[in-house]
Amino acid sequence: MKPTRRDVLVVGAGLAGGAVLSTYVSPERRAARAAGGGGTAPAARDEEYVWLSANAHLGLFRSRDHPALEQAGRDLGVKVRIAGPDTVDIPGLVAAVEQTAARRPAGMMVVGWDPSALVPAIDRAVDAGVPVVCVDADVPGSKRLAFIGTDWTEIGVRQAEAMVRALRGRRGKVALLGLIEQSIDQQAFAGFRSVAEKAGLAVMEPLQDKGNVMEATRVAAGVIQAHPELVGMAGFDSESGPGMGQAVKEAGKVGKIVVTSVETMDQHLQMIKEGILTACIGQKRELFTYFGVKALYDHVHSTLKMKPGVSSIPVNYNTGTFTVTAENVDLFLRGS
Amino acid sequence: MEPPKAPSRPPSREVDLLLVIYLAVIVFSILYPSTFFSWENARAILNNLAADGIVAVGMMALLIAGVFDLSVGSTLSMAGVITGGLLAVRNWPVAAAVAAGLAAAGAGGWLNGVLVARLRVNALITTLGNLLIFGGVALLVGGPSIVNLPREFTWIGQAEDPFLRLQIPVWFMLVLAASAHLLLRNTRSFRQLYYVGSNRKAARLSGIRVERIQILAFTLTGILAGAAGLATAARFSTAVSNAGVGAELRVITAVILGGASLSGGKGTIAGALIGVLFIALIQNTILTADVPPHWHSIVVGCILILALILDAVQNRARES
Repeated sequence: MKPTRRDVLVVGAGLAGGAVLSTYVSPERRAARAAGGGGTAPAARDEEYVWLSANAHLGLFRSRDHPALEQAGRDLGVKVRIAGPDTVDIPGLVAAVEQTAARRPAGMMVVGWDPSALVPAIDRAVDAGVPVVCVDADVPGSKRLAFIGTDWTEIGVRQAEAMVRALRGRRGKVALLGLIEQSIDQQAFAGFRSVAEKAGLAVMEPLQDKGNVMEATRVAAGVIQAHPELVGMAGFDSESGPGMGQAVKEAGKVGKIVVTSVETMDQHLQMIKEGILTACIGQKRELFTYFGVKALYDHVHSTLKMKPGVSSIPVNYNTGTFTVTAENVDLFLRGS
Repeated sequence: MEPPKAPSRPPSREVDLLLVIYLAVIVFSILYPSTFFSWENARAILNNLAADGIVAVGMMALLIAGVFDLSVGSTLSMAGVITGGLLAVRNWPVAAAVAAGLAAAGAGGWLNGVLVARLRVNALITTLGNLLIFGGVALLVGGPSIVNLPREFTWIGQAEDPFLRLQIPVWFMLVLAASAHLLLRNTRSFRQLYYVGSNRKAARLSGIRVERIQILAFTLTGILAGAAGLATAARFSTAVSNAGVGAELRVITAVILGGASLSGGKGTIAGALIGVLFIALIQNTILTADVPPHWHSIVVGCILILALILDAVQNRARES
């Protein structure tokens, strides 16, 4: 039977209605609506901002950085995505940056695990028109638009100040633990030395704890036994504090060795409460990813008239630190 | 056909390694009498090697049977956070939570065994894949960490005997090693591990159920990795989801150093513990001697290779 004009019109109308309906109930639409993109310009809803890091699902990232990233996506009505290898695999991270750039997202946030290896990948992405900011750790030699994170020299300075206060004039050796190959840790070590050595403390060469609590405990236990004149230990990755605290506790040196650390996760807070750790310097990690998305969004949607090749966002966002001690730890334990 | 007996005399590798340990202790005791040669230092070394020692017992059994397991570190983390989560979040009784953690670890080991022994998937790929899967499960269940584990559980990792002040995991490791040593020496079914590792085909032809033996070895190794995970979580009062990262390489290195062979059929439980002790001692002496940190891994690597070269040279001399 030959289709009539009416049949064609009915089928056409049905297809058009189906297309409208499928657009309305499509997963992408649902995601955009769930992201609170009601008041957002239609173009922004399709924008994707990607956060890339090595060890991308590290507990610390999962508990602090990732939720804030998703919050930024909801607040701005854009898509956000997490990418990168699950181990400290720098070539894997470089490959992830290159592959993500090839998909032309609206912007990329890269955690600068290596200040030199990531330079070419970041530069190629920027040259291809994908704006890149570094978060948490910087790649200063690259064409990244901005760095959003903590001033690690300040982390070292704050720890040293807390240690000098707690030692009350006692002098002796101080051990440093961390990921010694990381440039941010090296900045922190320098910051620590700048204060501790002026106060008459002998700061030892930093020791590697591989960002693992068992390794940190083993290294700290060895140092405690090898250096009876040890009066303090300072840690610069998330596992250093709990590891040093455990070693000090097992050696029966609580109160005799002052321990300070970076990060304020539950284990750190518990150890401060028990008097094992003296002070922990917290980073405002939520701001890394939240302002990472915001900075990229501001760059993409800027209405400022800048000179060609000049970025419309600030180069440095210092997110600051806070200090947790026995005096204020209850406040943090209640909130954890 | 009767399977071969486990070595009745201490094999040369173990004796050589013990001799090196003995010499190192003497030299460092003379050089650093107040810091190295102290019970406190020995106690710190032993308390810190217990978890690796427990896993090494299982790994040695696996290597004797001609296979290995790269997922033990992730199994360790997974068992710790599963038990920690059941205790701190679900308020399960300690015995039930411990049983669940060990069961999960055992199931992981069994899965490795079935894939490698029955389905003949390459052990490297299978256990590497499960390293990622179990590590992911640990992250999924535990997040960064699970704190506030109850005292009824944490005493397992923290309680010390009143005389030597060694923690329970150290004693557990020693009792476990002694039991495993006796089982490997005196029971027919465990001695079959040597036969399977030496010549899988001949073992099958002689009526040994090769697959079952290997699955059993994988399952036991999983349970022991789980036990190490529980001991670690109890010791730290916290179940950390990356607690076992890198444990597989440390343990395999120690076990090979202690006399095992990647081709199977060789090794003793005593050798596994001596290998773990040897590595722990090297790491401790490096800290005692204030070796610059960037040299640590180079020094450890060089000593390990040197030890194996010496062993190879001696073996060749004996053969000729």
